[in-house]
Amino acid sequence: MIRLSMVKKSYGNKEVLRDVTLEVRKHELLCLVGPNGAGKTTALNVVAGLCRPDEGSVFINDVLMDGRESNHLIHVIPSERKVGYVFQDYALFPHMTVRENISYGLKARHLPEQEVRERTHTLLEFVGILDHSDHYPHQLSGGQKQRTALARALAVEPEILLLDEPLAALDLTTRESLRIELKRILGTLEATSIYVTHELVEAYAISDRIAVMGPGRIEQTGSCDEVFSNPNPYVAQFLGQSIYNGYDQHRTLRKSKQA
Amino acid sequence: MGKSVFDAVMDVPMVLPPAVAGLALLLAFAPRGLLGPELRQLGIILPGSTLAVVMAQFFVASPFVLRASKAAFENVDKKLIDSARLLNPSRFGVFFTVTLPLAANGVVAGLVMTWARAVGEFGATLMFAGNLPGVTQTMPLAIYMLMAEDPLASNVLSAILVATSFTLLIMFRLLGKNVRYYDQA
Repeated sequence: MIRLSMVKKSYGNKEVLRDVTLEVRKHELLCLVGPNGAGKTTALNVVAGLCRPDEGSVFINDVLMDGRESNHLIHVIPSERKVGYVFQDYALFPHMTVRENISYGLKARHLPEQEVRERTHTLLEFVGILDHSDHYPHQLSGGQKQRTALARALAVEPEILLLDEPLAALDLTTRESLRIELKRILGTLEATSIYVTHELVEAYAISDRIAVMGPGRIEQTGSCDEVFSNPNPYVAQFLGQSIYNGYDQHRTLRKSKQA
Repeated sequence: MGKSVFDAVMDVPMVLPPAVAGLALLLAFAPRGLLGPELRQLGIILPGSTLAVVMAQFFVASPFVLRASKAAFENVDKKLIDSARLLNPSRFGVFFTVTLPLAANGVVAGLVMTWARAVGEFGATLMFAGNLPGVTQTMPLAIYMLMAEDPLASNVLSAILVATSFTLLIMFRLLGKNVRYYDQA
């Protein structure tokens, strides 16, 4: 379970998170959708502990991660939060092979060598990248990088999984197939996840619930059907804009095919 | 503001005329200089010593390594450090396994340039350390001294310096090729 309560965050005089209150239930996959610059990534970074909120509190599984407790300011460091994070452009360590990337967290926690080897092997198989285990990130395709990033995040057996537009950098065909596989993987894991995307189709296909974010705040939360059939004015505008953008892209694509 | 001042101070030795740098070192460390009496009490007399040569060279050349290292560390993708922070409980661990290896190329480049600058140092060394054969005489100083009495020897020394610098730069280029994949991932 993840709970953000009245979280505020500014960089300089730019308010990135005005007031974010959000709850993700246990084993639930929540899609965080919203336009660019709404603060989706910052919200994820707050959950992960990579960025400290100015105000408000963050709970993971009912334990306070950021906030005040009897006048003490609490901040739990990222590695202690049991959070797996898949970054938008994967952020794989370029000087390590796929295998080294995946085993990094296990080695850093000083697990026995035998266990590190076995767990890494299992993960390599699980995400289907065993054949490329000795390759460096720059030798991989986008989809393979994505699988590696996912395996690296899963290696430390996180209870929380954060995915920041994990499919955005992939071409359309890879995106479709990887989305289906990602859904299978996330289904088996039963992790509590936040999945950031600006693709409504993706949100619809993969989420249990969605939260629509406007600039600095959560505008509406609910199941896809609830939100899509009964949007508040801001969300309605965002949905309309997204559909129009999708239609526009589709039309341009068809025109370029005809030409 | 504070940062700009700090950056400027860091770069001062690079633009300072070497003779001025040598004079500054003398004013600070000579027996009658700012720290002279304290050093003398410890039994240290710097001018005319081999240590003074190292100090003069380091003072003049250090901005190269500082600048290059600073740029190299700033260029490490913050997301990579964040990834490491999520997986690695130790700050030192993050630094030594991710930040430093990714910045290493730039740091080594800085060290090579620093070394090259230090080998060629003339003015500050002459002012602060002097020109005592076998103690403080560096190759550039020897080249200057030998020019009149033994031109051949000074030519040979110059040739050695040219060859060393050239080899070093070639090696450095080759080294750079091997680690270039860092930028591409």
